[in-house]
Amino acid sequence: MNDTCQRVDAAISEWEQGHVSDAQSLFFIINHSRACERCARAYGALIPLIRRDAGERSGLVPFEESPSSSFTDSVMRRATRVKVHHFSGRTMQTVRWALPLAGCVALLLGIGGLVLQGRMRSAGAQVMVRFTLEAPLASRVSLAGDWNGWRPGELNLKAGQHGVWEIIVPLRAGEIYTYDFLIDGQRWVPDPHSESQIDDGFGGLSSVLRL
Amino acid sequence: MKTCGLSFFQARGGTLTPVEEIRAGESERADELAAIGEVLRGNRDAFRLIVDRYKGLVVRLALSFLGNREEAEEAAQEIFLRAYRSLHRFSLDRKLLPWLYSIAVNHLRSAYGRMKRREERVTAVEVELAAGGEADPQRVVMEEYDRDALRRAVDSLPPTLREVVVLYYYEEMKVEAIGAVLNIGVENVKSRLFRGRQKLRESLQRNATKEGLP
Repeated sequence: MNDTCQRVDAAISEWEQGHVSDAQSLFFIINHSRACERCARAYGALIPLIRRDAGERSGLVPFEESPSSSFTDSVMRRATRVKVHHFSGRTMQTVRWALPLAGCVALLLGIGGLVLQGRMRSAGAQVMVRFTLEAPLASRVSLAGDWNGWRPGELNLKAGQHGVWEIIVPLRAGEIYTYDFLIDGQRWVPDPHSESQIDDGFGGLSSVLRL
Repeated sequence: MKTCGLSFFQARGGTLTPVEEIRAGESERADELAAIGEVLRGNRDAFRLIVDRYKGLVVRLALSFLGNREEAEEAAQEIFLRAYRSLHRFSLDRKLLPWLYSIAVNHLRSAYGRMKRREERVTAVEVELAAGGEADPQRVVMEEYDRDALRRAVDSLPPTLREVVVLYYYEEMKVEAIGAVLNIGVENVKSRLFRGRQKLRESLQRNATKEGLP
């Protein structure tokens, strides 16, 4: 270890403290590391980072990646498979058939929560899920989730007594859904009584429903 | 290639003049808003424009986070699907790219965790060898070794430091943009970068000592 190594140590220490490296320091470190095994092994791996702080490109990842030629088609193909479940006569028939098999009709009233009517655990079976939200000051409440592509306005809750809004939605057992309520077309709120909530990726929370 | 909104993220711009960048950005933004409107009206195929425009950046971001090309492509596809499902929640007065990056970073956090758990991770980042035959083979090997060593050190950082280091040094994003994507202040970004550099240097020196550094 010589004087130059000590100067490199000092330059690295400065860089680490956040003092922006200049091109001169960068080239000094690079050139010395090429000639000095000790500094190459100690600092060689840091050079791309120092390069970045000196105003160069780090070069750690190619600037513009070229995805495979089938990338867009693959995304679009998968997008067409996004499940969308709507109310339909068939759905209601399935539910009427499913209820006796399930052997239970849970008509529990939940305030600000959801109630499963006829819980059917076999994957793919239709179950009726009642969603409720206590929102006495709201003039409109709708429900959206990944089962309907998060389209607001499709599933509007009906106002009941004491400011409790309600809707019954047929969903499939064996799935995990995320959903939220939309109040007055403006404010998204998670279900305060959902079994769990997850980060929605936009600074808010989404409610989780496992059927 | 000019990519809409990139100047917000990357510290250095492309080859266009500032005026050309603004004009190109406005035109592309209008395209995007029209495409989003189409998608929300039920024309699924309009989403293709968004995917084509940003796939390079999203795959690159995923590669920076995951360090594996195949995993990165798969994660990038899922990011676009997640964006597609959430498109109605996109506020039209925002820029699309920061919104897309927020979704991406959230997704990549969990994708990285899943990948680690599967223990199928390939740590090596592909090294782009310089064209031509003049590269010093020993130096190329050394650079590859250094990149792997750096990658391992970065992966050993705590998650909060790791993601800032990846976004700043691998993605070369500005600290302001990192703050916006992670929803933290600029000073917090700088502080994490400082601690990240410190831990990286310590980690690399520790490993070099184990391997017999004089």
